[in-house]
Amino acid sequence: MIKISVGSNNEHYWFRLDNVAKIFPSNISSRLTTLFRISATMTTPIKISFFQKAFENIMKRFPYYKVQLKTGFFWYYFESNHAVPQVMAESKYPCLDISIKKEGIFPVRVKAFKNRIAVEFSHILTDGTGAVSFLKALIAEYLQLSGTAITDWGDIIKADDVPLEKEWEDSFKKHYNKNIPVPDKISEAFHIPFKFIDKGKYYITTGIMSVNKVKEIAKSNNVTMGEFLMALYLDSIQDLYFKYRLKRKNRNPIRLSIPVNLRRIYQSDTMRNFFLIVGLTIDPRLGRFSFDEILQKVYHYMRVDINKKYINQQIKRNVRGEVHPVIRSIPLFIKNIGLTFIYNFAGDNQYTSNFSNLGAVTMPECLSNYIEGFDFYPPPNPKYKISCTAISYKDRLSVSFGKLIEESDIERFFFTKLIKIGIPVKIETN
Amino acid sequence: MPYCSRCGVEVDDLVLQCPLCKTEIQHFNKPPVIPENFPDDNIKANINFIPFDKKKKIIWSISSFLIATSLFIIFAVNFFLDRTITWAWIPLFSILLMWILIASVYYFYKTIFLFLLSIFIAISVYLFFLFLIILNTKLFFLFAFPIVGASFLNIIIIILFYKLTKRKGYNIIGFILIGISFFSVITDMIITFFITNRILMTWSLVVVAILIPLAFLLFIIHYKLKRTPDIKKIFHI
Repeated sequence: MIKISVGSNNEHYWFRLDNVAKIFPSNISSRLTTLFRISATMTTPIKISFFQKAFENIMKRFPYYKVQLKTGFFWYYFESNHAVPQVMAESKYPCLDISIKKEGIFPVRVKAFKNRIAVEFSHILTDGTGAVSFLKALIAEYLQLSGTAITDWGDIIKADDVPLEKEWEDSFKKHYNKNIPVPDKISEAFHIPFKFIDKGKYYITTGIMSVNKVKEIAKSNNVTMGEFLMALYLDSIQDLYFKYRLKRKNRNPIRLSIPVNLRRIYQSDTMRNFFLIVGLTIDPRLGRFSFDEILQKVYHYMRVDINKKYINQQIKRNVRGEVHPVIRSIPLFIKNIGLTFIYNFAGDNQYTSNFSNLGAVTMPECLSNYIEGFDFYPPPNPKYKISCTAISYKDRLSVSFGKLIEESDIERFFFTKLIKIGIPVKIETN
Repeated sequence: MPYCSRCGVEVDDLVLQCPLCKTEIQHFNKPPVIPENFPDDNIKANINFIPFDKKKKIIWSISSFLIATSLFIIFAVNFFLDRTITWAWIPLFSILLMWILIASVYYFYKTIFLFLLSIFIAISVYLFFLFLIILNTKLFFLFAFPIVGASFLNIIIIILFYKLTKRKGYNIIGFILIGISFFSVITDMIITFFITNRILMTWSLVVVAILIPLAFLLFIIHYKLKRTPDIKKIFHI
């Protein structure tokens, strides 16, 4: 973050977009908003006056989120946004309607509705881990302002803490090694064949179930809960693959994009994007895979391929363009054309869908009873058409599907599989 | 809790149809009315923009800087090549006029008459110097100044009509057409006087013959027909 001017409460910064963020502004549209959402359901209704104050306080603590996207001559960049952030009213379709390139627009927005607090972050700004830290800090600040005594803060960031430099570091560039070869190219994947729903709509289907019950079954299969859900999702997409008569050119491998949080692997504390996508593939052209076969594939893949050496290769592949002197010196309006091309033919085109697991969210004992649960909605993605996310809190596991299609086959396959193995699921939709 | 008899998933009490397979959910008791998870309306964000005054100041500073730079470059090139100012007078005056026009917008955008007066003076002075350099000042007073004066007078009269009229509609377009006719007649007379030394109407007769009946037609539509659409609603910018 580069400080331009410092005045009384009016510090002005600008900073470059990180590697993940660079591709998004050129491709942003009404269906590719890059907004994902994490929400917390509280035990009591939200008091808006306290919540607005808490939001303002917390935004001061996260100066790298209190920004606006600007267009430079060569790249997009973030610059301080001195507007007062406002809590927004809830909308029927989440993760839509943002004019992120407009003057004064924050790439993060906060909504409140009855007992629910929701934060919607643009992926240009941060990933799920950053968003969870922000939401936890916001909840704690809100509870404190509304009179709750907080004795234990745990890993929650306090509103009056000083932001640390490591929080806004670009960890991709830090761990870029130019002396290693890039990984092999991967082929195009199978794509969900259905037609889009109207623009301005985004359907969410959330299944709520017991963490312990899913864990128990995952354990009996020797996998983690996340791996079990991944296998289940792959199997559901496989069911869809065999249910419909597909066009010849769409008969490709099913490849699930799995975002991997790199903070633990590289000991990073950045609050900006720091994740990479790994592709989990089954090829139904070879025949139908049984659930056990898929489970085995997931189990071994997650232990073999998520390795620092392979991850380094991926970082090299993604970052090399960004640091190349010729590419850097191309004006942005020309770069935009190239980035659109890369996104359409090399980015999400290589994957069928996305499964993003944020894992278990924990809160300190003194705050845990004020929260019923967390939900996580994926960003709308016109390439995938449907994406899946999971997040858990205490014994409540929330698996959400966000989709730009009318058909409900995949969610139905997914949730009925869980019911068949004895896990009750409660469904909520928008 | 109600559940779908086909998929087996549980749903909220109020749900009538399974969200996954659209099968009707059976309710053995009348479902209690509970609020929805999401509101139906889609309320837009409270968006904060840069204040207008700040934007205005930024534009004024940038344009002033660019104009000052170009003035300096033109002056320097001419002076270093010829050791005096020769061809640079016209571009220098033209750029200076542009600066004054931007300044008029910056300082007088709220008071329309001061804004028009400042532009009128700036253009008149600019043309005076232009005639002084290229031709002579007599031509300016005979030819350029009356035309500029007539056009500004015309604009002022139209604005006055606009401000004084209570119900604005097609009548405003009528006023504008009459204004254009008036301006054409004045310009025509000045030009013919300049050429033939007689006050005559030539081509402006055609303009008047077309625009005046059209203007009256608009007045009739506006004043005789009761419901005329609000001009701001249709032509708002």
